[in-house]
Amino acid sequence: MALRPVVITGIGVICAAGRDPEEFWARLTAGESGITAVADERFAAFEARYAGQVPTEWIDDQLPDTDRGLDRTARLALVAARQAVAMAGVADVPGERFGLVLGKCQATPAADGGYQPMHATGDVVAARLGMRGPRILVSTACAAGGNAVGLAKDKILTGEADVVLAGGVDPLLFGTYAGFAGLQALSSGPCAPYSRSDGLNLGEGAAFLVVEPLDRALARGAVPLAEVAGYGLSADAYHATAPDPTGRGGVSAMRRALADAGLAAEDVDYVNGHGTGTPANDAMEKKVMRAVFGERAASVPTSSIKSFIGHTLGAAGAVEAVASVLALRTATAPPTIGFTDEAIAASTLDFVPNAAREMPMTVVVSNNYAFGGNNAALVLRTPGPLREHTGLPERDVVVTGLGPVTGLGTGIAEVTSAIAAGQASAGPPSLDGRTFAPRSLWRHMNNLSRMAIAASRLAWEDAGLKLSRAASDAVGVMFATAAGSVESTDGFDESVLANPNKPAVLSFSNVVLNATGGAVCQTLGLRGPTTTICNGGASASIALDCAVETIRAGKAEVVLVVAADEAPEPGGALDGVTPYDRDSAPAPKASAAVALVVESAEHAAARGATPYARVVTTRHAGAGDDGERGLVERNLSGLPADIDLVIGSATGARHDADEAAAVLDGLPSSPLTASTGLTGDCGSATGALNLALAALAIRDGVVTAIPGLENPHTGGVESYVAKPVLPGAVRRALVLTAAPGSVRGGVVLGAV
Amino acid sequence: MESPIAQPAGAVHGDILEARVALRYTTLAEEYGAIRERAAVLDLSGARIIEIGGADAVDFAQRVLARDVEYLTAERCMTSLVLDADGRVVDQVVVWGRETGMLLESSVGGGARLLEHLTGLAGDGVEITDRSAELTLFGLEGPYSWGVVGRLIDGELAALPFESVVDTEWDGVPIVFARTGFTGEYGYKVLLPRTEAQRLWDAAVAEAVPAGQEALELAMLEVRQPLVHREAGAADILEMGANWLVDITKEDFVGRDAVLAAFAGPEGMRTVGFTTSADAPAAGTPVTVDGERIGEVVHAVHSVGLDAALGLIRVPADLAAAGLRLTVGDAEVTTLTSPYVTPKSWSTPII
Amino acid sequence: MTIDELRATAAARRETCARIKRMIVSRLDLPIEPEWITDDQPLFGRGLELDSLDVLELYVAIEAEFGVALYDSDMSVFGSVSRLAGHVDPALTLAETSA
Repeated sequence: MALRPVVITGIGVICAAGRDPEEFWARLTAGESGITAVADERFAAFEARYAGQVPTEWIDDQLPDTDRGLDRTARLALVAARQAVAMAGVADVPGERFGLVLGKCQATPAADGGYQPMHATGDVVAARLGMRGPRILVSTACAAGGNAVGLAKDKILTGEADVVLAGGVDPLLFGTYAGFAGLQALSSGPCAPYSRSDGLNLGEGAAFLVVEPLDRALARGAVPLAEVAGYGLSADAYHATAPDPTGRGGVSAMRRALADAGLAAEDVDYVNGHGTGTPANDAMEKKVMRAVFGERAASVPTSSIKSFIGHTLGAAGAVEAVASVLALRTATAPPTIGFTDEAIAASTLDFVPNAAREMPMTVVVSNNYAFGGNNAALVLRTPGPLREHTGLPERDVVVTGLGPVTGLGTGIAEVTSAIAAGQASAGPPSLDGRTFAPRSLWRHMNNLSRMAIAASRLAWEDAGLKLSRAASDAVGVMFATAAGSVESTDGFDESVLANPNKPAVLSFSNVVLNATGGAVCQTLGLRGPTTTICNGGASASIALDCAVETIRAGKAEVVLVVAADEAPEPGGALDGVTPYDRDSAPAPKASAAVALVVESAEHAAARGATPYARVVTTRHAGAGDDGERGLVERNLSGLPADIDLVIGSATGARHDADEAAAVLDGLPSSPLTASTGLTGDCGSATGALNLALAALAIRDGVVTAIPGLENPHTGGVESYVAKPVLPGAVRRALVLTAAPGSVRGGVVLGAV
Repeated sequence: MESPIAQPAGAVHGDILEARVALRYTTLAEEYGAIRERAAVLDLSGARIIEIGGADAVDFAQRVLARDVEYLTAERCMTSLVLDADGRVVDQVVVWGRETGMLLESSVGGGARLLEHLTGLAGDGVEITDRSAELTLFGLEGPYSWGVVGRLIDGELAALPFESVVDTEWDGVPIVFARTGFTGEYGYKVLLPRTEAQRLWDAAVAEAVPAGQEALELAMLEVRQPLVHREAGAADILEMGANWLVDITKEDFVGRDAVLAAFAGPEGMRTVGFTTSADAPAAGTPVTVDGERIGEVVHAVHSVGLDAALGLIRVPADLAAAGLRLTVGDAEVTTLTSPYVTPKSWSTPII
Repeated sequence: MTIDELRATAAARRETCARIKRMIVSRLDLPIEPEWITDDQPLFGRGLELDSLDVLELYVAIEAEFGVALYDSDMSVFGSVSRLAGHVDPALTLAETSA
């Protein structure tokens, strides 16, 4: 039986082809390009000077005065978000039941010349629109927008939210432009996807879709615009920037999406392609069409919206999803513009050249292929009537392998000894003493990727996994990072400042947040569903959530959850860092990567594995106006209370008190501990490390302590774990993750 | 080693070490032309296929191979030298990753020596099995060989990344297919059951021109792919210029110490390519400057691509450079930069 | 040519080749000694296993080190270190032939 139908009830878009859905669709159906020459003088440095720019008036005319001081990314997002919410008529959804999944590829510049946390844009939108439910920042490069719609559907299916706003945003940024120019990926004129195919144009924009259950939409009298029938993800595991020339990654994503939708290739009426216009992408997409549709390929129309607006990076998948919804609504396939008569004559597939075409349309597939080899396919169909459905299967999911790469040690054996001895980190993690990957791949990897690859390899070995090639092809990778590679970002930014025509291309390929996730897939040969989560310290628990949902939905049996972050400078000293203590110094940032192997209990049992623990439940809450303590309390409510150990997210900084107060109040008999006093603040990796430490406590009885805790903000020392030993076994542990002011996560692990 | 293929009339045969091979089917010019301009099919049945299995297969392979195979998966292959303890070349092999263990493809004719070397080093936990009685190997090379792969087997295989391996089938026959070659042109190999070899060969020659070892070795020389049976012998890998088939950063393998010692020691002889309008000199012909002998010819042949003789000489390192005029035997020669012939594939896209 | 003239000619080429090797190792962060790379070995695929990203880096490095812009050249300039030397150092007399 099928799962609960989920539909789209509102859309919003702002991009070079239009300031709202109506204008957008009018320009698309009229074949009018939005790509123009870039007037900004800085861009005169490049030979390629066309882009899909949004006139600033289009943005600010749609914003209240109070929003006009925000950065461009936030402004673009708010415009499209409000359009979608208004169309759907969901302004009155209770905050805790209203979620947000935002795709964004580029880091947003901060006023001080640095970068805001990736999730800041999502927080601005959530605050303005009153969303306090699940909140995810997904950053799978050019596939983020489409990926967001799929994840939004998952949040509905798990019952965590009643309405989710899914979308993507990215502005046109000079540094990114220089990077693509350095890769020689840009066309010197307006791009011509599928015809001239001599390069891409960049673009900017935002698009959102309101996603909710069909039954809820109909009950409140809303008009479903399209059904999110299914989605599929895959990894090329091939190269950081070039797509797998065989197209098998793209084929895999499409086939998985169709399987998720319960549909077959012959049901597809129209394909909205990725269509960037680069020779590598366009050639690969043609292969994908032929592989999926076989002899029918030439009669399945496929077109590229990027021919109108350029490549809007994180927004692209969402803009294209909006176009796909409009295509279904109007039974019209938008064209690919830029075709000459010769190009039309030479085409072997139907690219809907230059003129929109009315045609019967019930099923549309929208494809996105990203840097790092991440592929996403979304299947949308015309909404049907209510139908019988089941919930997501309840499947037991277990943790079977741990791979920490931290200052405390590399590998679970070293970390276990350090924890048991109450030792603190002596410096950055060491990768000496063995290899973790083929040398030819290792040398291309930056520090963040090397740590993540090492962590993944160690977790794999700890789990005792021996999978065939075919089974490895189905292993998923959920990558979590707060800030990505500081090394590559800094290196790239410096090179652009020095000479925008000579950017460091190796660094650029590592600047996208999903690069390290892609590197893990490439090195370990894993091609299953994959995504990248960038929600600060809460990223690891959100990534674990994605892994659990993927396994419950039967899309994978084994998923690697990998979190990695690096310190901008060599870490400071850890003495004086005592989480939850009034006198604590804030934990300095530190580099680490931690991977967990997450598996269906059946798969683990069948191969004789000894799991550490099972995932009992996870829960996330988005910030509202009830402060940090309120956020923690909301996160804790609804989680089981019989907890033997709580590992908190405390970092010796100001939110320790809020977390301690909420935990001691809600779980008065559960001892509370934290790890950052021993390791420093490892960003997303702290969350993953805490998950690993919880699993370790449950199976092996090893408990992390806070040595030197004397003066806690709340409660007495006896409420905390001051020595690495507990009176009884840990049967259930709660791990708290935090991106303060944004999202908090809670994961309960239990004995198997 | 004998070919499983019925040999066409007029083919000229010869021996390369232990293998009886077709040196030429028709003419060198035609077969070389197929390799460099269109597509050629190669009978590589003179190569032995040796399986390394057992619980310690990967560790053993790491020990005997000069390059790193620790993470070689079933969808990758790579080329490596196998050295003896003195750092001399035993053979050059293509390593095919498998689900468990791996397959070593010897050079044509070099299999017996390789097998002996491997068996001598294998301990418990390692099984060395010569699979050559059941498996044989063909190659397809040329700037349009990808088209042949498409017509003969499957269009998707043509675009496989370099050194990828796929388990697939041809006409109901299970085959292992790889994108790898010898000549710098697009190259593919098919490992298949010996019993099916004639059938596949017959289908292949309808699409591509059979090329013998002469044309193949010429094309290999032109892009400095080592020909072990002509270039190795007593020379060490530095003298051969085969460094790139050895991973000096790999911690431990047979021959490593000898190679490191040679690298750390004084620069000895080195190899450089040359051309001359005179006839190709024989191996061993002295290289002289002002009448003084400084080195000798390793190997030389007539190059169809250059329409001149092409060969390798071994000379002192301080004279092993392109752009020099030397005397070989009685003839004047000029030393060259590699590749001596630019593969057409480098400027031909796969469509 | 006398043997000394030959040695001098060879030395000029070997010096340029050595510079190129040092540049490659440093720019691409290779874990080997520059002299381990031979003048005639392939740089792509097999050989040094450089890929398309490496080539883009090398274009920039070659321009910085040698002042020669090779961006629009065909791939054969990267056929070997020795071949590259001929393209970046006009002082080298080449006796190369390509078909």
